Amino acid sequence: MTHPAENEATVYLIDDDASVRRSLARLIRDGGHVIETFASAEEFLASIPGRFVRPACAVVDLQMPGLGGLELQERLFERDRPCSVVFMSGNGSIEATVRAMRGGAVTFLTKPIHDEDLLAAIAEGLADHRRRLSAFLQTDEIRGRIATLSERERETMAWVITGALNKQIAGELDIAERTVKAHRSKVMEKMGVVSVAELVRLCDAVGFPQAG
Amino acid sequence: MSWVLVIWSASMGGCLILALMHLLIWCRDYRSLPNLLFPVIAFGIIAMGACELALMQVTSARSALGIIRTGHLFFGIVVPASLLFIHFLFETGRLWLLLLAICLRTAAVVANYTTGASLHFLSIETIEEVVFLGESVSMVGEAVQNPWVRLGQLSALAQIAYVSDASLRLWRKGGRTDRRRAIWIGGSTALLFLVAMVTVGMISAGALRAPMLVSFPFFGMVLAISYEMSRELQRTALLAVALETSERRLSLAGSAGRLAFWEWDLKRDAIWISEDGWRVFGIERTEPLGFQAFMQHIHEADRERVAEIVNASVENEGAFSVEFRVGGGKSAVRWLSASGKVEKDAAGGPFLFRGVSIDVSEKKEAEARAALQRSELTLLARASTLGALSGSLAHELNQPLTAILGNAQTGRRRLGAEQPDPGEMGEILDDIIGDTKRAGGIVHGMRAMFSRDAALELETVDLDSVIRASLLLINGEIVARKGVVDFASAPAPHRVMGRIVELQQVVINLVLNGLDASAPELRPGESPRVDIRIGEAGGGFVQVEVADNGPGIPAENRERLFEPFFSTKPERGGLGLGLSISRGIVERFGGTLEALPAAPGGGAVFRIRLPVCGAGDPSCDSGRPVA
Repeated sequence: MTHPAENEATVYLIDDDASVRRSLARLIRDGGHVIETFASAEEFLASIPGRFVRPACAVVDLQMPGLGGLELQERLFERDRPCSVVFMSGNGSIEATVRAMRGGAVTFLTKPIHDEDLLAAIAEGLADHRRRLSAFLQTDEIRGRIATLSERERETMAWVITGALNKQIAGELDIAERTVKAHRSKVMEKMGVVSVAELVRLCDAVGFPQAG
Repeated sequence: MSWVLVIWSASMGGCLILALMHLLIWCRDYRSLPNLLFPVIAFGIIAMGACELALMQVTSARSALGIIRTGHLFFGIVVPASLLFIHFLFETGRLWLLLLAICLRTAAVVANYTTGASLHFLSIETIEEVVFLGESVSMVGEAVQNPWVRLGQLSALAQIAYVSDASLRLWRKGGRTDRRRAIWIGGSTALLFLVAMVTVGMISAGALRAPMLVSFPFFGMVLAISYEMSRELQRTALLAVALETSERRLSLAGSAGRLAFWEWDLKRDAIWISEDGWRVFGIERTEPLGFQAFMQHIHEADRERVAEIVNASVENEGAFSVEFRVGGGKSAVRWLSASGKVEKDAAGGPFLFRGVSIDVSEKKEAEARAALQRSELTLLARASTLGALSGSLAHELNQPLTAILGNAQTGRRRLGAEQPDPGEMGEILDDIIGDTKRAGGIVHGMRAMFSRDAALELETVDLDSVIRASLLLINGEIVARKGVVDFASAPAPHRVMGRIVELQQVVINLVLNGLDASAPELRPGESPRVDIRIGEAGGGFVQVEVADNGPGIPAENRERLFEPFFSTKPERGGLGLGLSISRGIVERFGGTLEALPAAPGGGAVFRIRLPVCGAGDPSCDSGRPVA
């Protein structure tokens, strides 16, 4: 039942209660996941990599001594490309739930937790992170292509995506219209697109600013 | 008319009446020796008077000698009796002087019968007639004086010396009664001894031609003594009236206030109970009533305790005070409060137990009602505290439940797998058992806190485990508030008399207060902190200090904090009952709860002090651990 792709994924379980950690770790491991457990948010934050390159999901208890679950989520999301977070609580107030969900949590589970709910939440969390990771990969690729453009080509692209004609661009950049044409075809080639519409989508994905 | 006869008869009659009166008093009160000696004196003087009267009628020298000898015998009785009378009444005389005077007088009486014809005369030659009070009476004429008469005079000097000395010492004691007695009784006796000595001496020496007039001055002495003694009678009469009034008042108090007066004669084992007292004890009037029979009327649950207290106070000859129940069985049970005192006899042994009992059933009922209300309020406050804690308690309870559910589901899945590993299944089941027990412990703790049975007997409690159990119960709340609670448990147990649940209530209250106090004042990175310290306080007390890192308590609020409905956090739903109820609980267990003056920059410190359960106290040997 273990999916090959899942093997790369890691589940982090953070709960101050040793019994809960042992029990849920068993359950999650039997669910086919690689699991690491932590007794506190501080311990977890100190040991995770600065940037997740593999899918990961943190299952976090809301109430813990020291940093609580919500603070952990905040710290985590301050970082670049955080993993997914699933909350657990024996006593979740509506306020805490809203804060958690607004903060980007996958879901909020009430203790005691049914195994299927927990595994489903983890699966959702991992899928979500995986989706975000691939999106990250895509933007990395686009940024890489942009990096190959020359200064002039980048300026030209900034005008192209505004929908300006070659003549206008030549006027703005104070160069010959022919030169603009050459830059434009170089840009289309380097960015690997055939239409302006495609180019606009790529620039949007990485937040490349339009000119003007 | 014969004046001599009239005066002598009247004086003798007066003496007789006074003598009989005191004799009667003595019959009622055997211990009063002066009341016995006075009649002896009076009868002696009457006899002397009779002899003198006879001597005034005498015709022959022979019969005169016989009368004088007899008269002297009576004088020999009057003198020691007078001296003893003064001795017992004044209690100031010198014993050797007394014995000397009595011995000399006895020697004089012996000489009266062994030498000459009497102590005064060897022989009487003639009897002469003389005019006395207007009539002709006989008197001794020519006579030969007995030289032994000096013995009588010596004795008289010793008597005067003794009486004067005793009177002087009595006078020096300085009381009003004492001084009056010294003058009236001591003075008259000494003076009349002197007069008697001089006149008899002169008459027997022939220097004074008069009949023997010894008794006559002594009539005066009897009157003086009697006058003084009659003051005692007057006082007794007044006392009798006062006593009657007082008895009537007591009887009124007895019937109105449900009072019983009682006396227990220890030697005869007889108990006397006042008129209305029988009803207070609920006993049919039975006489005689012994101690064992009386004890049967005391409620059997209290019988042994009362007997112990009574016996202890008889042995120590001290006072006692005890509350106990009477009745039971068919009759209604009532509470009595008794207090009494052992009285000692002259030898210093206990002989009488006297006291008073009062029906305090109504007071007891009111106390019980108040205790019930107090325990209801305490329970209410506890329930309210726990209500506020319900969220964190749910969390505490959910942790083991989560672990149990997770383990059970894992187990269930593994059973469905091809080859479940028995070792792993065992671990899973062990974990489930462990967590189930943990959850059970939390539920048990919560149920105890809500329980109404708290108002039962006090028990021996280990304070350390009370604190640990309290912290366990509010662990979730401490975590939720991001608090840190530090408790340094002592190696030796600190046992006190109390009730676990109520002491936990106090600890929980103080710890939560401490966390609340510091919460709003924290700098970033700081946590609310409560430190609990336990230790000996000296004087047989153990103390627990609960300190927080909050802003401390303003001096003007330090006592007000303990007033009911005084709350510093109404916005956070504080009822303002926590500290007032906590103090009530601690005081019920004989302790104190106070807020200490804050150290500069320090937080609030609350101190509980409770009496340590004595090491020798058998009820302390079974310190029950807190579940």
